Amino acid sequence: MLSKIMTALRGKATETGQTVVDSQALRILDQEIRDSENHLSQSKTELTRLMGQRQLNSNKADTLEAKIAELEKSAEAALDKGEEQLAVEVAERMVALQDDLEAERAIVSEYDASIEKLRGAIRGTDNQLRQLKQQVSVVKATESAQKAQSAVASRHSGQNSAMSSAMESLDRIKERQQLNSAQMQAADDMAAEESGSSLEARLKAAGIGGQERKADDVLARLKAKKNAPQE
Amino acid sequence: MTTPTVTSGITASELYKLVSQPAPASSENATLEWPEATISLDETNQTLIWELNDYGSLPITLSRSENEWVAMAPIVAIDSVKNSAELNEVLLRQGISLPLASVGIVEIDGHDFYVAYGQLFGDSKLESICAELHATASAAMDVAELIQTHFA
Repeated sequence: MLSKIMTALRGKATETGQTVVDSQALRILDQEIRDSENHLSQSKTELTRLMGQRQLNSNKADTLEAKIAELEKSAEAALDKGEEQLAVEVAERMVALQDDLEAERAIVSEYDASIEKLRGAIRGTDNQLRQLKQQVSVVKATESAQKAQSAVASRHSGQNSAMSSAMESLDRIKERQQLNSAQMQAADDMAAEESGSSLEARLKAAGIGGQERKADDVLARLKAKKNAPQE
Repeated sequence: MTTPTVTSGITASELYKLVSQPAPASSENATLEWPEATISLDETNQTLIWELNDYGSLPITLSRSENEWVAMAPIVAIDSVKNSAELNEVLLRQGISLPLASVGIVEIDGHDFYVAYGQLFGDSKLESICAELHATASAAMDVAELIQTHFA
């Protein structure tokens, strides 16, 4: 099947694009399905004919067998009555019928072989038909998917960032991850800063460091300088 | 394209109703973990569109025809890939290890795209459909990562 589609596409070298592939594929598939269905229906008709014919020949063989059995009884009866000549004639008739019977049986087994062969062919066509129908169904579903994806793509193409493939999704996920880790880093920094400033506040409360204390120191130094005896 | 006649399983519209409404606790749907997404229905194409929250808003479509579901997620436009011959070889060799999904090339909106896709019978269980969505999205992201690392 793929080979047939390829051949058809090579013949259409001037036309390009997926649409051609799909319509070609569907056209070829539809034709194949029609051919297979015709073939199947012919094979089934032929199978019915062969089975009917086989039955006719089988019936003939049964009739011959019954006839031979009957003649055998007659021959035995003739012998019982001492009718030797009659018994010989009956025996000759039996031999002739036996030949006919063997011929009929040979025909029946030939029919059996043909029927078996045809049944195999029908199973093959059935399998092929199932595969073809699935292919049509999948080509149609793929065509729908393709159209729906095209609709999504054109819906997004008006926007600043294209949003319609896994590659872009991957970028978005990575961006988001980077943003997340940047946010986490920022949160860490802030937490560190906050704990630092609270330490500073506690030191200040204990009278260690801090702006007010420094101002007191400067003032005390200036006063000391002023009060010091002039040189 | 004619409207597909659904022979078995649920339609895209039915599935849309199912996934866009909170499920009764007793239903089969209640135990399923559908991907978190903004879901919409493209009725013309019998397709559900999921923009997946946990996959960077990846748009994955789930389309229904007579007998099949096809899940599809675009990976990247072919012309933004370096050395696509080598990538194709890698995908053919390694693609078999992607669970429940495959990689192909499909024309979307006039451009050829690598896509991740998965196919299911139309009468598949909701559970299988749900698993297929996750698998196709994961495959798309996995291949995108491969391309970004080695073929961009």
